[in-house]
Amino acid sequence: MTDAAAPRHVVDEERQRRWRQAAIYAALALVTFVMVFPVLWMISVSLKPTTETFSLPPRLLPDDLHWGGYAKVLTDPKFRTFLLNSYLVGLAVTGLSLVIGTLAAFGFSRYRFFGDRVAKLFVITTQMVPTITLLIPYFGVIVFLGLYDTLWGLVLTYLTFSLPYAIIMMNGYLDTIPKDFDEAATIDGCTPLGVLVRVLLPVALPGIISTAVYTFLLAWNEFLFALALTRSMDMRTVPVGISMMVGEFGLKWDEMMAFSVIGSLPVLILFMLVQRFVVSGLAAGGVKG
Amino acid sequence: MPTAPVPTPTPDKEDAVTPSFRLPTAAGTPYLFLLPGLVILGALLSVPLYKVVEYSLYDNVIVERNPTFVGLDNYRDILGDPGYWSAGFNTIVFTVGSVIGHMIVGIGLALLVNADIHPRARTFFRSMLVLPWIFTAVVVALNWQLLLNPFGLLNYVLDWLGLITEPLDWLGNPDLAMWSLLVISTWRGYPFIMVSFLSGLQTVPKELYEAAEIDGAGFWHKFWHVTLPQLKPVIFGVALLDLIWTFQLFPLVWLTTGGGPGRATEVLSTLTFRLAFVDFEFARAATVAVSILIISAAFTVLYLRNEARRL
Amino acid sequence: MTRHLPAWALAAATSAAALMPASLHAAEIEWLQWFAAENTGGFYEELVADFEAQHPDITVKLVTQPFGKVRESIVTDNAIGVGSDVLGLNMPWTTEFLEIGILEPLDDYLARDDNSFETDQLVEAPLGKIDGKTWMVPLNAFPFVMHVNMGLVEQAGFDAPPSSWDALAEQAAAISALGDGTSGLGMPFSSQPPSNGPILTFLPLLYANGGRIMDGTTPDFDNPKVVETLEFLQQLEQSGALAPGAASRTGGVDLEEFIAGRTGFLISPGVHSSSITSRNPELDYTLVRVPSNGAEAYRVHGWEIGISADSDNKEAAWTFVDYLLSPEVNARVAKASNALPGNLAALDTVRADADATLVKQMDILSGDTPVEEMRQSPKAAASWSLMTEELQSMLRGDQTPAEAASAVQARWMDLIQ
Repeated sequence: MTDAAAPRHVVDEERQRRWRQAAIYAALALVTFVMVFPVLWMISVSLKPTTETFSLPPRLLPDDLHWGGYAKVLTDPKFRTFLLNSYLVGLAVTGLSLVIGTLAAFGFSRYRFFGDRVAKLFVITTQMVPTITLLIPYFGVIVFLGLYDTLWGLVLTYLTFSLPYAIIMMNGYLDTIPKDFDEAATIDGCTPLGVLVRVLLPVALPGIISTAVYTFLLAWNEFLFALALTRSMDMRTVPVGISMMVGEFGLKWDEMMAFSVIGSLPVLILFMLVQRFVVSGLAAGGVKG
Repeated sequence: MPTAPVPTPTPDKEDAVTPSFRLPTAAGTPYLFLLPGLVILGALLSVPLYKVVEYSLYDNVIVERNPTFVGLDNYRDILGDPGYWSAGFNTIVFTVGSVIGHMIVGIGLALLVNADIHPRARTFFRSMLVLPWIFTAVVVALNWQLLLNPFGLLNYVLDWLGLITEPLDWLGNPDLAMWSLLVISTWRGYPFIMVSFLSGLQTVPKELYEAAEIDGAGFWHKFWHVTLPQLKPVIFGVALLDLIWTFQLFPLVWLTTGGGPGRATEVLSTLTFRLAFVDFEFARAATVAVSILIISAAFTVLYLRNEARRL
Repeated sequence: MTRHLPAWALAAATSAAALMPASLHAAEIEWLQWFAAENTGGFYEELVADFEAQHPDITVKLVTQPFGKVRESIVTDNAIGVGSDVLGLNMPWTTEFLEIGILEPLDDYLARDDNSFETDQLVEAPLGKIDGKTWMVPLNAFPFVMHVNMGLVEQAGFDAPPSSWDALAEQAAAISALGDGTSGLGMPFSSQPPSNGPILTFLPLLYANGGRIMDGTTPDFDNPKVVETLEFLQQLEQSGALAPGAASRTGGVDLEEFIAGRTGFLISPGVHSSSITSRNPELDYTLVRVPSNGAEAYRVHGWEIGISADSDNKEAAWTFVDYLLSPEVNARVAKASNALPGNLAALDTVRADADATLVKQMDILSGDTPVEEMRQSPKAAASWSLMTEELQSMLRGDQTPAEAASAVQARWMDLIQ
């Protein structure tokens, strides 16, 4: 951190650096407040009885905090099932997408071969049809495979959504790594797979993390297929559970927001844990402000 | 240390074009890498994709006992429907607006949270800024409806500041609804760009910045001449996917405005859904879906061509 | 499940049937519904257990979907051949589902001698024949009423809730004039799904005006009664009686603002009274008949039950439906939702320990005519969504009531071609 700076400008540079830091902190605080505000509002709604959510003037915090929504969500075992299912599906999709996607991305990034453009076009094409129109024929395939009303059905489904992303993005990240790395490793006797695992992946770790974050959140947020491809309460995920709170005769605002907040906390913690790996690889630091 | 004989890269015709190093290619190596991914995508999606195209050639499917083959009639109907064109126009506005919003906010914030600040602060800000991404669409939509309601917080604050005299109906006024939707979409979508770009930033070799600094380059100069060119593959990949997804983004739009008021925020994806599950016109829904496929494919071909030029 | 499906889907359907224990024991039936998600706290799980205890040869699997997705789920499941045996339904879906062939006609079942109920004791609206047959039976009924915030009515200087249109217009405008974010009445005309605001508020007013919108299964929207009712809405809007932002107001917000004490009146199903009284006990609340402009008719809504045409267990399915309609069980079902029973023979049991608002609904409605027209519409969901768009435009001032009426009529005619 502290370089042995040239003695002449130490004071000036130090002052300038501090100002710059202060400016960055101020900007971050402001922007973060604006961006996070809607989430604060969700938390606020989760802590108010519904009558206060619609009272005027709007208030961020009620006189008495209302924990009813949280109590309901934490005591009802079916919400635990929804959470567990969502995490399981999310983690399985993430793991599989990373392995399968990285292999394919490596193929696309490091080789030119017959049919590469067509293969890539196919991969991207699978993302181009609105999923709602795929729903019914896809439903047929899942039933045909005997995966209807199982978590594996959901894992496979989300894999088909996330793989193209994983392939395209990992391809992009691998492309940013100079081929000299491959050459050096190959000269040292690495097989192509060895080049990928021992040399490229450590450098591409930030990219892997962001791909993982994306694939997890895709599975975590998906609703339409989760609803159509499951029907037992034991197989339902968080978004389906949340949509059950939007009833024909009223909406359980406090429970809905409480469940969203509780469900998202582990995701947020997970992100905090993995994001530190987003500073590594070739050049910790990147653009200096 | 390795003493195994170094396999000579097999020269192939493309080596003449790109003289950089090539990994040794045993028979079928690249295909083996691609195999698992392509098998999964092919097995699960080729039938449904084919079905959608087939549906679009029948008079009506799913609800009809004996669908009749009608060739391109559905395409003629759809293309002659002003509703399709206005949804198409809205889709372009929504997609371009959203992608620009995602890119500017996402890249800007990525640069900001990549700054040289205390690691704990960095973790805090990065995690907070990713929050818009981790809530399911129905919650996002309902929460924004609360905030943008005529009696909601935004109008209350604007009124308190003296900026408005009577409440604005952000989601119900045809002149405002698309703008409101763009703000929501930007809010919802920037974390994806931010996280991807942030990861990309880490792979830029530090020496490039050092070299630029020696030449006296400032922040913007480094951004334009080092960061962006280095991250082109990542930016292009992210932008393409964002474009394709936003082009057919469904839940957020449908749950927030339902395409309204009137059809002011109707986009092709909500039109597809409306045709399929409100009107039960599955063949026409498939037709609109195929039109989305064709337009997206055009983007992609452009992207791949661009990529080929780069390599 | 034979017909209109490609071979691979048929294979899928057959293999699914083979995998499911249902076909082995021939007596597991599925009941797809949203009722168990509607604040009934375990009631339906207990009901199913009770039924299974009485019928050891039949098991019932409760498949619960969120209300907003039930209609789509039924169509999607049916297309793949995994449709449930017993279906929870809404009347407006009738004609749409008939055209797809989802529903089993119930006439033969209803004609049996050993049923636990009398067919002529059932709430009539859902039984009305379409294509010459009966397709669903009523589990319970929710008449549309007007909920009243008496506190606001009195603050505005009135001592009784309105019973005529003129009184409604006067009181609603006076309540809006109180300021502080209060409004007389909400019109939830948001396009947000299900985009059905007009059938919640406009149709009850139209029926109280003696109007109708359908002639059999043909739309008849541009008639004088409709125009007159639209003019009434326009008058309410121009006098400031309506809550601002009708075009983004959802049914949910309409209800919540009433519960929070910010609107004077709420036109919605009577069943809302239990949410209102339980969530805001402080509210000085009552409910009345929807103010009339000459006619005494109300829009009736309810939870209906049907049997899937593709079911392999229709006998078991009917045994279950029969159980649900027996006066004793039906009374329990009605009480669980604070609704009126679908089998009117259960009315006395329900009345015995009904709360004040429910008794009031029974009294208000004993003599009026129940109406439900959306069930005749070949494209109900699309129809009300178009109606929503045109009414938004009218309230915005972009078209007159007469223009709105003919625009809806023209678009409905297009729709059914």
